[in-house]
Amino acid sequence: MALKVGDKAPEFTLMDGQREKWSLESYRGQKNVVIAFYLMAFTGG
Amino acid sequence: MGAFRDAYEEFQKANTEVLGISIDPWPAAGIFVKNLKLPFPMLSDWPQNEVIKAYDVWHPERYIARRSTFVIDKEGIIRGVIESETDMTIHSRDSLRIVQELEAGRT
Repeated sequence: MALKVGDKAPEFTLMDGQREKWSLESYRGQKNVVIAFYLMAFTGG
Repeated sequence: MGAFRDAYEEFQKANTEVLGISIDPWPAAGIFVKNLKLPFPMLSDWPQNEVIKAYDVWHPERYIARRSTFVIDKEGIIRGVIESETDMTIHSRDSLRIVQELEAGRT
């Protein structure tokens, strides 16, 4: 089921290229977050 | 993702962090950040694809993640979804406009 405006964003914790962890929850009450899903290996831009 | 890089200063002014998420393993994510000189992280959803599934951006027929951008406010609520666009400049432009409106208290 697709997420839509007004829904609660699913929490996540993922690692970057240096294996540093980033979690959505850490921004709560602090910042807006824009998450961009992107396939990098196969596409340009 | 260059479009988000170029607008990153504006995102910061709008009190917003940018996080890229891909299905590639961590080393590839790190190389991508370096090559494009991204000021924000690319996170790896490999190998579980849990986040891609949670946000329903998985494209089952093609085994790839669609290009989708979500704008999430400080309370963890989704305030914008940009899909069906392959041009990342539109993703960057539209998400920046949404966070600027959020910060201005207009929405």
